[in-house]
Amino acid sequence: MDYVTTVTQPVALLGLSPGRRGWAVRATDEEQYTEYVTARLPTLRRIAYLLCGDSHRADDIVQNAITRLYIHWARAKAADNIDAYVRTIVVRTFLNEQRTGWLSRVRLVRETPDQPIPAGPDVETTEVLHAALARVPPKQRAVLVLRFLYDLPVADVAGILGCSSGNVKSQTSHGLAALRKHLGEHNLSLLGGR
Amino acid sequence: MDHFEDGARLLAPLRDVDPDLRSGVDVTRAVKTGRRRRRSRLVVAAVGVVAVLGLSALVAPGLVSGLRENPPATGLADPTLFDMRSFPLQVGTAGGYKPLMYSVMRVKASVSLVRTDGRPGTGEVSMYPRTRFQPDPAAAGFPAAQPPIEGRRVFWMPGEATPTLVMEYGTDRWVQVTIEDDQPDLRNRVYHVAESVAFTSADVQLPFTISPTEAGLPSNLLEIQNTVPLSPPETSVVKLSFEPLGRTPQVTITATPQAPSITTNEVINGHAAAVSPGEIILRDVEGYSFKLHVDTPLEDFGADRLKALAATIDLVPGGWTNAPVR
Repeated sequence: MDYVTTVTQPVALLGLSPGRRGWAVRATDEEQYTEYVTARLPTLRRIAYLLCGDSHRADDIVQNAITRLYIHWARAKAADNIDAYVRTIVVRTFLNEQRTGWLSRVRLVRETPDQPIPAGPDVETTEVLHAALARVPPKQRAVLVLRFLYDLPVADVAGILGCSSGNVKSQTSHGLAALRKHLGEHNLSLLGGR
Repeated sequence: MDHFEDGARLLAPLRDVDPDLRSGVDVTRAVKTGRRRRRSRLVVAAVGVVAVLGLSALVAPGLVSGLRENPPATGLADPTLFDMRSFPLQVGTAGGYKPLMYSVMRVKASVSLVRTDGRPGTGEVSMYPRTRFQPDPAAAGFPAAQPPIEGRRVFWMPGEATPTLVMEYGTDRWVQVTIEDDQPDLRNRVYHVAESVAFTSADVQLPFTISPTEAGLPSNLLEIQNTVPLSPPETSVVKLSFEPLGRTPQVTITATPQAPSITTNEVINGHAAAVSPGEIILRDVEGYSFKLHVDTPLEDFGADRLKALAATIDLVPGGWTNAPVR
């Protein structure tokens, strides 16, 4: 083996096709990726929206998450449950964005004009609740969304967040307390939370 | 009522909530960006493999067969690698794009670009040592871009999703220019950006030093970033790696005069700090804020280690340094 190394040599060592084509996901994989992501986009946008409470930011999170998914597509395809794998990427992208956001938040997706929100008591209740949820600390918020809106067991949530089951339980407790505090007595009684 | 029932009932109204129907997510853009990042990761991985092979050969040449008897000085002691005290090239505003951030690693120096009109669309100018990136356009029949730029050979890389131009610089470096955008006439824009590249170095400027050794954490300096304008930069970033040849764990230290609105919960070295899993923000260290972020789960690094590292941050009295690691 020659010591002077061109880019193609180590790429070949890594078990990938040599040359420039080795740097991209194979065409058939790319088609599968595009098909999968396109089909799941509404689901991914919804979980991101529930986590962050803002459509534009949700799109940023999903944009970042599906980019990471492209990079790790081979591993994702081989996962036992690809939907769970991708959901984990979205949640972790959200948490990471929360940590880095104050310095590096950059708009990644095109702005779409705001849509008027239909009026009505149910909409108002939902808005109040979503706004209160958005004030809950990010990790606690993620726990609440995954446990109570996606009905995931504690162990699955712990796997997604990379923490212990005990930690999920305590985050649940703290998260609910924070949510109640941000809702206030009046809204809490409207929601039947007391 | 237990926690589960309580939580489920409280959050039930959100079960029917959906985001705005009009999605801003662009799958094609994700593919393009993913390809570029994948390429960058593989170049870094390739360098790791080369470094491991180089080290193996230095430590135990008998274990690796087929090596030259007197190999040239590449690998860890490669003189063509960047010294990380300066950015080796500068980029002007051209083709509708302007520089946003400069970055230098041992194996890559780059300038990230954004559109001058503030709309989405990004680009990157990267310089690689020939020992790490060595296209052979003539042999591979890459189409030459015309005319040559200041006498340098320039070629279009084939098979790229976005126009990518490579330009030879001297005998030991290659520069790659690419733009990811939906604008028309991207090739011309890429060419104009390449024309704006100036091969004049500019010192990196860090307003602080940090001492992993004092914290008992020997590390490698991985990357330095400065935002534009470079003199002085508003935001400076230092990335450290805590494994001799590996990629993890890494810690990113960011300094900025911005004052984040955060709630502090500890005091580190006399400075109010917000300590959370995997991250510490020091607020108002003589006008600067610092963020230390662990790019791996905190349990792999440890909160105490991060605090010890944060405690070694010192501002450079009245100025800047190009050597941030003490």
